[in-house]
Amino acid sequence: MVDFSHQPTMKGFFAPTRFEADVYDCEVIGKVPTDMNGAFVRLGGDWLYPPKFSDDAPFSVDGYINMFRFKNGIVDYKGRWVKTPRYKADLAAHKQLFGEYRNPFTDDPSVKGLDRTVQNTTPLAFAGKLFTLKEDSLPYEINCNTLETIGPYNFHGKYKSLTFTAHPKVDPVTGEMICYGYEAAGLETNDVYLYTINKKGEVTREVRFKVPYISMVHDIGLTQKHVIIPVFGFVTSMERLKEGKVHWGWDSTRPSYVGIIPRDGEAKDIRWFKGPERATVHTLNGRTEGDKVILEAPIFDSNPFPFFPSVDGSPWDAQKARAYIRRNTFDLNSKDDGFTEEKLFEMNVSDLGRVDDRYLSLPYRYAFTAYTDRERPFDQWRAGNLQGRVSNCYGRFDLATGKKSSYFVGDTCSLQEVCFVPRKGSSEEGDGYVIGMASNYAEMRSELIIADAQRLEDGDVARVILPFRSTAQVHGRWMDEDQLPFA
Amino acid sequence: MRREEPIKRRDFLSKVAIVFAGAAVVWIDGGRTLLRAVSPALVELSCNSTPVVSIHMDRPYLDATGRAVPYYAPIGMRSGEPVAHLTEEAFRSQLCFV
Ligand SMILES: [Fe+2]
Repeated sequence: MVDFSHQPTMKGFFAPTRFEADVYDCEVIGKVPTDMNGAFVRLGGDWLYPPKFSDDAPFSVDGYINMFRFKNGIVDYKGRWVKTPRYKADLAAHKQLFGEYRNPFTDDPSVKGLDRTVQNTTPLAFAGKLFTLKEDSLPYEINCNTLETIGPYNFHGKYKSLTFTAHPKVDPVTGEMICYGYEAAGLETNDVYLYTINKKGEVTREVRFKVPYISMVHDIGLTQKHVIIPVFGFVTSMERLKEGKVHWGWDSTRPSYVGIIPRDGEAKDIRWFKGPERATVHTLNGRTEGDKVILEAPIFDSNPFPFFPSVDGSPWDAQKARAYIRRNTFDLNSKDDGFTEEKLFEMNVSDLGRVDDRYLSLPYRYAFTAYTDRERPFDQWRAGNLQGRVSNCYGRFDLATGKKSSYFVGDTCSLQEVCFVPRKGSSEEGDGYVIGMASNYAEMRSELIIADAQRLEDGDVARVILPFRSTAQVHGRWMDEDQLPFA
Repeated sequence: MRREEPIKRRDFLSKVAIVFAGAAVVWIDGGRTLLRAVSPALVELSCNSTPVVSIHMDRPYLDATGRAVPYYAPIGMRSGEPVAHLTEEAFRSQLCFV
């Protein structure tokens, strides 16, 4: 029997949906710009069966990919489970067979040795193929028209890491992808394999190195000359896995490290800088200016995730789980291992921020991300009392002037991760659309909002309405029609 | 606009009755005096439209769009409410991307 009734968070709007869907010619409020041709692809999760353990992390949720296909102002929606071996095994057994997050010792013996990945983090279009990404395994190739799962992909056998990051970086100048895997040689190994893959999908470079301690290396920064590798507070060990614990714990005594490696460098060329307790889960952008390497990112003071508890048993601190846009500057001429940190905005924001990807690794001006504006109204009588727990605005943060412009989604909605779509034919940074999914708690439905990125205060130009709740995404990406062989 | 405390149907109807009993002149200004008796915020909403008041879930709902459409609640009404009581830690223990 499938029973979610004992899951305290899986209720109301947040109850699992557990269906696949096609909606042709979606209802639209406003007018979808006709110069948006391609797809907004979202990857997140939906529980096929309830978690085996009540303290399991939400990162164990089964992967679900969905796509808003844009064609000349018309939008179709499609949603499919990612059909991993894990999904198939659970479905065949009619129950959850897999235990704690990234801990195979807690699984049902019947699935020993099976690929545990749930493929629920980031969609990627590269070298003409669509992939799902999850940092505990290889990418999974997906049919971009049907969203059916094809299977794991290792770049013609040349990608040797057992894992692949959810945050590869595509250099807008060369078109090549810088990507990596951590715990690359297997569970609980402190190996990172860093790769360059050309735009045809051929591995052209591999560097293997070790990190100061095994940690979550979720995202990196890219400049035209360097790769920036944040390592912070999350710790793991084979011992804790054998004790049946979730993969990560938080150790506040661990310094954060940031590795800087030249893009044409070898393992011996990495320089590790050391800083205080921080969590740099996601980055915005990086650049190299002379002998200085600069990373801007929404950075937390401490552990952002209560489901990865402190190793010393101390309580999770919600106040420290707030991300602020900060600039870290690394001086390659310095004699010590320190670096500087500046807080660029005094307001906390969602750490799921984006830039205009055409400016990735290059000097840039604008960062986009969601945030909570507590001065805006929230209609708790129609939406439920989630005041203060909704991301009700997308902001465009001008790093040159310190100014912010804002889109407000309305008083019954909460916004998921923002995405920037460049305007066709324009190369000006920030000229395009801000898009993202809104959860409308009053209407019990999901709405894709589209706003002019240069006129956020004007509100959205269109809302694509789904007549149901779409699963929460982790990350979504715009894929232009020339990136994939769309039908 | 900040929303005030919810008004129960009984309170609403009793206030309506009092206002009606007081004088019919309350309608001279387009009903705003009646609304003011119930909620000043509703007056603010109704300034440039013909308001329609409906009762839903024991609370009055004002349609301020000028389309004179009463409120029909969708099935998912207040769908954030079932998790609203959770502590921040319990809420974020699963809902970290919402
Ligand atoms: Fe991520």
